[in-house]
Amino acid sequence: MIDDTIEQLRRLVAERLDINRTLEEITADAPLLGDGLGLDSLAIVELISLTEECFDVEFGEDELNMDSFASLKALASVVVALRHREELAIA
Amino acid sequence: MWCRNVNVSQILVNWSIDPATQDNVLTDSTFTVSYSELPSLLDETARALAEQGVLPGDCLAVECANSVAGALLLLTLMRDGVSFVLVPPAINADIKPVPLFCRFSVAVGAGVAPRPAASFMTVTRQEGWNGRSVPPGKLLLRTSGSMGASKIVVHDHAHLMGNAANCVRKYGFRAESRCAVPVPIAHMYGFGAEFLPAIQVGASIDLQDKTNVLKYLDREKKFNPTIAFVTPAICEMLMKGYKSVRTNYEVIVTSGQRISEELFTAFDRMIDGKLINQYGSTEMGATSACDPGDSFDLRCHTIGKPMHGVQLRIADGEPGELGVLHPHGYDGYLDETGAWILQAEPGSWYRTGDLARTEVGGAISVLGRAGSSINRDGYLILLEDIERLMERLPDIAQVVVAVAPGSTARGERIGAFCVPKEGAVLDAQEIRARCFDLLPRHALPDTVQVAETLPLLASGKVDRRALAAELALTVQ
Repeated sequence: MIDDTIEQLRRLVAERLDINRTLEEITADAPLLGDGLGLDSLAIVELISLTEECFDVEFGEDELNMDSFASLKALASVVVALRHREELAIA
Repeated sequence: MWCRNVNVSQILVNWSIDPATQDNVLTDSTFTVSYSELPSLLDETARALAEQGVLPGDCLAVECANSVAGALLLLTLMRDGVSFVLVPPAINADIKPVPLFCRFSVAVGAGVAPRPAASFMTVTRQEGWNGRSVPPGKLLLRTSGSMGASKIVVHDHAHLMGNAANCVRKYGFRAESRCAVPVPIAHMYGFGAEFLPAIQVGASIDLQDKTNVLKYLDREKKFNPTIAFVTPAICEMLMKGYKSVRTNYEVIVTSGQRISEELFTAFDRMIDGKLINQYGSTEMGATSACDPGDSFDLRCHTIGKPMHGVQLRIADGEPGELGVLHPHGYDGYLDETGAWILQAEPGSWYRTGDLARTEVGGAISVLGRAGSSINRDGYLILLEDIERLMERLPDIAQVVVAVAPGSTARGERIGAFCVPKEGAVLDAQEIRARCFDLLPRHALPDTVQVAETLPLLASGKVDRRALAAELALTVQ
């Protein structure tokens, strides 16, 4: 599940974020900020919106921190946890 | 010894021993120093500069991140009356942001330790120094971000302090204030309207370098600011992160570009009705703003009342170009060599290039730019600058940049039309990809199109309105 989520996030970043990076450059472990993929403040906001839209989740203020967005791997585990929590809430 | 700016020097000595301020801090989240430490830290910084061969009378080019170390350097230069140019980081090798009259450049990065002073600065002797300098006690800033070919605005340190005092008065800065600075302290807005006013009252300051929504939320939680200076882009970004109303703020000031009514309304609601729209410029500094207690309608739609001692007027009927008479405005413009392009006459009105109109009740609202410049991410951009830089790309004969209706999160929407050189074939996507290395992010066209020919007016000039109309079709 987490690997699928990472793959989906990689494609999301490559195809929909305006950052001029190829799919090969966008690895699961590449830091999203700073020296890694270098997402600027707008790209981060875009990534938050796209992730919410694509996975049908909503980040709370507790999830919106540097750790959650350290890498696509970290983000994927937050997304998986959020989906799990929402499934429990529905059930 | 260097000619000391009595004001800054005296203020910092006072705050270092006053029980109400001495434990207040300057922090960048990694490093923190208190007001009680500032006088000795600034002495250390001044010594480190002297050891590198910097002489009284030199003008320094300063490249400075939002860090405690950067703040120490700026305060040292202000205290000692040293002239300095705030330069943006070089985007590419073609653009040299250091003017020829600077004998040294000094760079202070983000996340560097504020002590020892000798190791937080990179001091470089400028090969191309032309032997000139500027009089002491000046701050110089470029008019147009990092796009080259800009004029250099000259401010007197004493007037900067006057400008800052106006902001203290307008926004209610005091020793207990906690000031979040997510905008660059290397620009007039962050430095003159928030950083210096905070220093004048001995308030705590949180410097955020290249902020983003995650960083801001984290810093907000730990620092608990009462004042913040932002841009519409930052408001937009925080709207994504704010899930509950903030009640810690006494005022949040936005400036740099026009904020839409929709965004103003939404963000103002999230910060409990504390948003103020400030009008200002690199040349004049903070010029006009509503008072924190003004009604929503005034705050959202007008620039309120001018700062203390400032006068505004609208030329030639309404709407017309806004003029400013400012007691703490600029000295004038220099060119790259240090020669005057224009010296402002004391008592002369400054033409802002902005269209304005008087609203019912006498408050003034600013409608937009009067000329071919636009505002994105808080930077004033001349369309010609983008065109000139893009025309350096291979196989391109001509570039025309047009403004499309509607806006993006960065500001006005812009599109570039590129005409290929004879026989050459251009790829629009590839051109845009190359622009990432060529242009600062805020100047990057939202769209690039290849055009074999451009529509012309009878005069033979490019018909920019026709291009804007074409652009409008492509974005819909």
